[in-house]
Amino acid sequence: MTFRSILRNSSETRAAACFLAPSVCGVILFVLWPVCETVRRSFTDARGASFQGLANYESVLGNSAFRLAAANTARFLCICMPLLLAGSLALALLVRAVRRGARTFRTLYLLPMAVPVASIAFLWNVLFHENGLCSRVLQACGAQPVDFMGTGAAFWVLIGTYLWKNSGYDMILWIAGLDGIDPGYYEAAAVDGAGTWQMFRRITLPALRSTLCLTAVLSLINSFKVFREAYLVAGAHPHESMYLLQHLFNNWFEALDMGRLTAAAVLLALALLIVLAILLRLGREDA
Amino acid sequence: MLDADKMTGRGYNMIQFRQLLHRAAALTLSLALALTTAACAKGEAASGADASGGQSGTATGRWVEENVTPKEAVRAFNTSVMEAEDGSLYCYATLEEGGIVKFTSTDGGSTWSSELTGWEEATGGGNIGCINVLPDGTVVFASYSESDSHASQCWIVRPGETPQQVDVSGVGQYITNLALFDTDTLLVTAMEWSEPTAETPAEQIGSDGMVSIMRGAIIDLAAGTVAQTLDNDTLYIMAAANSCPVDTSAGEPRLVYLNFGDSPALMSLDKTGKISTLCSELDTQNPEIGSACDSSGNFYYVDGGICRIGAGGSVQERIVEGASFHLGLTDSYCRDLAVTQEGSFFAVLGVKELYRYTWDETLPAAGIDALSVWSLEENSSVRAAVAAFAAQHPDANVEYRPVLSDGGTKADAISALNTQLLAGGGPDILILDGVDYESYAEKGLLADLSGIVDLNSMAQEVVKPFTGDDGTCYVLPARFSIPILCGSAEDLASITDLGSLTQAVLACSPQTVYDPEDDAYYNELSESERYALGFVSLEQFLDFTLQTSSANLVSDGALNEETVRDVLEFINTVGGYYGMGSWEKTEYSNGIMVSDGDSDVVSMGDGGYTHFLMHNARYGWDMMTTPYYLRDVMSAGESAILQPGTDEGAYCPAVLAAVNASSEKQEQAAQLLACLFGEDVQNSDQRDGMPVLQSALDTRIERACADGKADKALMKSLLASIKTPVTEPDEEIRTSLLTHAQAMLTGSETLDDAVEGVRNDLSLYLAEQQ
Repeated sequence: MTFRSILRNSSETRAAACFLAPSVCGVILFVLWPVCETVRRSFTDARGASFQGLANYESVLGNSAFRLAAANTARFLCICMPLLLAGSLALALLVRAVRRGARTFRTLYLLPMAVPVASIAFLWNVLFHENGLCSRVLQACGAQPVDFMGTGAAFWVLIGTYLWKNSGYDMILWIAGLDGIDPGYYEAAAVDGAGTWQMFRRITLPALRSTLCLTAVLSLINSFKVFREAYLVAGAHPHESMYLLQHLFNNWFEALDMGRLTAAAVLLALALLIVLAILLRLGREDA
Repeated sequence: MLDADKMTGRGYNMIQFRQLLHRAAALTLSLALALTTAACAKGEAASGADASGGQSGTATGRWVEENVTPKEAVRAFNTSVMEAEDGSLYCYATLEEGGIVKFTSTDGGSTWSSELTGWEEATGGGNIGCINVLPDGTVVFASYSESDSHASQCWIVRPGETPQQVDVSGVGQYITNLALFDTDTLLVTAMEWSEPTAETPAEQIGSDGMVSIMRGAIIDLAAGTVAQTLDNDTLYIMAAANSCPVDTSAGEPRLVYLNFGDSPALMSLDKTGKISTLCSELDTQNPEIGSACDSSGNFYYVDGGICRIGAGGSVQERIVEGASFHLGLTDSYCRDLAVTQEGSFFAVLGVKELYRYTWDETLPAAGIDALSVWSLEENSSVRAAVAAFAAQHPDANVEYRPVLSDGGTKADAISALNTQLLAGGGPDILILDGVDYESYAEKGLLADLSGIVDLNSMAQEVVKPFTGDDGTCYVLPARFSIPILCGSAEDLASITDLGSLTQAVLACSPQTVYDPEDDAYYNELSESERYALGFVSLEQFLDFTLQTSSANLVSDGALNEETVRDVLEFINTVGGYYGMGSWEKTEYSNGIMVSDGDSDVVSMGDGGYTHFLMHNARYGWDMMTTPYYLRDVMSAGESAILQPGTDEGAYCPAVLAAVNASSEKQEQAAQLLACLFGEDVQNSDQRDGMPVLQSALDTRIERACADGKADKALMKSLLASIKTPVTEPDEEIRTSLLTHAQAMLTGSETLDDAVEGVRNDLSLYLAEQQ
């Protein structure tokens, strides 16, 4: 390495540092520092002034509202994620299989993403209120009216909404992944006499592994946004079947319960980190 | 690897150029980052100077209010402050002991010398009124005969002369307003009484059997004749506009006034009786009487501050914000306003307080380094305390703007407050009405007030529940009111709790559906038809119940089911008896405010209205915000007890004041609280409850009982019985109770179902708090 190349490398390093500085500063200021502060406050009182040890964590883990919210959130994720990933993959395959109008289908499936949250909340009320459309249909059939949002059905309404809203987006991600698979593999498999199912199992699925990780991570993040619809329709204390961790966090914040709020947030972050680590590891193994 | 020897000169230059470009881009981005970060820093606020002379960019200068009322005991000011040609100021007032006095000031209004006019003697001893003055010192006034209530005379006093009578008998008998255009032209409005004729409609005949007519004219004083007779429209406006100022900027003098008829406008009346519109689109809602004109033709009036309409009528602006001054208080009303050549203002507030507003360029601009006060809604006691604080500490700056006054929801406002407090910032003083004040105290966000306020000087019954065992106090109410039940002493004797109240209700007839549109609803019922308590809706009935029963609905994070059952059972029995299941929700309700001038204003809601005014309810219920309420109750030959409920000795604290523990202005905050709990504010009637300062409370009770109509012992015994502070119930709890109360009354739930429903509704809410 010549002196000139060293000089050149160091000047490039400096330039890179200058280019990176704004985003690094942003990440430190808006991500790392708040995370550190959250962790610190999870061990202090509401004002963050006095150290409380693990008291906040003990209180959170012993709180029945937290356990209910965590269980509901986990249940929601466990049901939604597989359904969404499988459903959107199926949609992607179908849309690719359609020879005419594929582009129209893609657009149509993406439309729910463009619907404002307030409109969805309004739609929920129109459909699922005790005097709403679904109840009227039931009444017309001779059944008793049902307040869907005041029963365990609210949870399934929540799941339905999430699937309806996010399927199109995930479908696009799957299509991108499918487009990235070399058609030569399929041609070679066909020459060897492989059937459609065999090609899907042996070629498509393994090739989509990295796409799966990306789609799963994005879907996981998106799943927490469903709180907006739930909050707009049912308020701070909805039916207990759709009472999520975000409800609890919101209510603890209103009650100035910063210690428990931050402790619960740290616990949730740890749980998500584990899930993300598993997903990333799966993706890395593929790479 | 770069090898310059093997490269052409042009290629090498290109690489150098790219590197240079990279460096330049990196430098630009770094600079942009630095600038962005710097922009996030707390910068200096923009200049608070306004059109009245502040300089842009200096962030200094603001209006200062001073009480410059003369030392003499003034009963009422008769004129606004006038500025003589030599710069001295003068005005006329009536003294407490009688007599019209002329006050003169040669130091801009700081001090006043007085001189009795002796006009009563000179005019035959009648009462003097309707005084109107010109800058040159010419005065006109009316004298009223003490023997004949319909007779009056008009007098003019020219500088250095004695009063000369002006003949206005051709206008009317009783002068209602006098206004000078100049030394030779006078506007007179007067009432004329006559006997009714056979054709006179009955509605035009007064209670004295006479027909009264308002008349008006412009008098030529030099000729002693009526120059112009006013038409009816003009007449009624001018009769009311007793302080309309004279505008001489256009050459010919004209009277300028705000007309709030069908089309609100700034109008003028000239000497020929011609009316002109100066500004037809006014940005004002509730102007007060006081108004003024300067030599440039700008018009000034008071509406939450001092507002100006430019001479052309196209500029309308508020130049003195009244929010921090007495000018903006609910119990203040500006009757006279004056503007001096140097731009200061004088305002007569009420009838006997004179305030001066001057622009001080040396003080920090409003909003700069201000002591901030937070409340959800407008609070008149806090406003009075801010005004008192500003008067005592002219160097200090206070910012008080109720958060809901700009729109938005309560939840958003509380969220924003919580964010600030938890981040270690936020307002310096908190008024926690409508907020769960206990959680703020529990979380250590509030400063201990025990060292700031002298708790021993407060009414102990009120402050004791707010004081910890160790003497600490984090929230303190500045006012309180008591929910009471009124009726005959015999009737009240048997009512001790919700059960006996239920029996009392069942012993009377049920109330019919509240229908404000139906005249029959207001007809007085016979004794047997009278119902026990009057309500307009189920919501109101629930609130009535909760105002003495909500403190113990939740204790230690758990629902007190016994209390919930008691409340719901009471609602079910009484509501069912009244048939409230079919009542519609209504926002309309009845209520009046009564004051005889010297007394506090007594507010009476639906509970008092149905009893005392309609006489249809056997018992009255209300929130007693002043001892004068009790005087009115006892004047009607009745008595009062604390409204029974599940909370023993319920009372409603208000103006819950607290100091942010993280505030850097603890000393100033303490000074403002000293004003809030000080004699001046506590002794003033802000219509938001009784004072907590014991001496002020005693004074109020003494005054209310002074005429012997109220029983001081009863008042004292009511006060001694209060024990439990009851604030607004949590919205979550109220909503649940209302839902299940409604279900019970419509028959879809039993009492047990309702109790269980409430338990289920609140299970999550309560679990969160465990």
